[in-house]
Amino acid sequence: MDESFEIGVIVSVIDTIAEIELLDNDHCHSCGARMICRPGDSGKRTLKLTNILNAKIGDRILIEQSDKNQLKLAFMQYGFPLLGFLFAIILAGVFIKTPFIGIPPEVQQFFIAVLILVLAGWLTRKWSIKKASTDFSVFSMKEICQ
Amino acid sequence: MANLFIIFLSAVIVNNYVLVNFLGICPFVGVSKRIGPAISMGLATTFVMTLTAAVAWLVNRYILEGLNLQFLQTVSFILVIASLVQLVEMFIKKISKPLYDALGIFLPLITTNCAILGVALFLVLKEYNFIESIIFGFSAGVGFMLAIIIMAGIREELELADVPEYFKGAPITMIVAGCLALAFMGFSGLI
Repeated sequence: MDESFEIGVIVSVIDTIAEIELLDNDHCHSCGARMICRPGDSGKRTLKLTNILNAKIGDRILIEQSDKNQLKLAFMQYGFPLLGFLFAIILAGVFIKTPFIGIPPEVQQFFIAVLILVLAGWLTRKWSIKKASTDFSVFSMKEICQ
Repeated sequence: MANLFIIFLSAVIVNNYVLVNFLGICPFVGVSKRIGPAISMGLATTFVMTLTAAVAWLVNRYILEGLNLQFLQTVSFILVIASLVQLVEMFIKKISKPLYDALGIFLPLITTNCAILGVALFLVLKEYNFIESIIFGFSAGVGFMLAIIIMAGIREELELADVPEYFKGAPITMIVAGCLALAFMGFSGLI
């Protein structure tokens, strides 16, 4: 596994942080989810990256995406909470067998598992904040395209 | 416990959602160009499938069956999946913006993944209990991840292969997917 690339246009620069709007790539046009694939408040795919290239507004930037770091993030974001959820629901299934004040055992098990899921999310947040203080990143500016 | 293992093995290999039931083909082809994003997509799908299985089971048992509204199953499950994905998206955005920027793109793709709806409908059809349903959802996700990783590995190798011009792109991808489906059909009858 190595890196993959995307192209984006700089829409704003504040101090050392540049906001980049990602351009649709070749696969976007044939993707079934293109109508709803607009993460972000602005309805566009945007990223905020450290402006290591001293790029200006309007510059087209080649953005490098680290697969290795993405994998770590994916595990922390989805894998770790999922393992917590599964562990909690199986454990709760062993101990909770009877209704409690009219709440069926399955609903109790589900809420316990959701609680563990939220706890795992909170731990992921802590990990993410810790990683943010290091040079760990998924995206980075590679070069200014002509 | 043996029952749960059989459900797991069945959903991962024997009745693999992508290669045997042909569900979830869009993300299978769209996100299988490279192994890294394929694993991330697989993890995200497994996560949503497991949660969907739990919520769909509860909705079906305590709302639809309780009110005798089973004819609304498909509509209800679509609503459950869409709401769940939105909720997960909001949650991830809240807990970590960088994580959302890096991986949020997979979530809209999951909303349109018919394999998720397939899990919700199959678990009702097979009359699984709560724990079995969750294991079934998780296993279906693992099966999806397995299929997409194998496909991504082959497609990465194909970039180095001398593929005839007219076979490049979609045709060779479909041929590979067909060969993989044939291989997985060899497992039928195992359980």
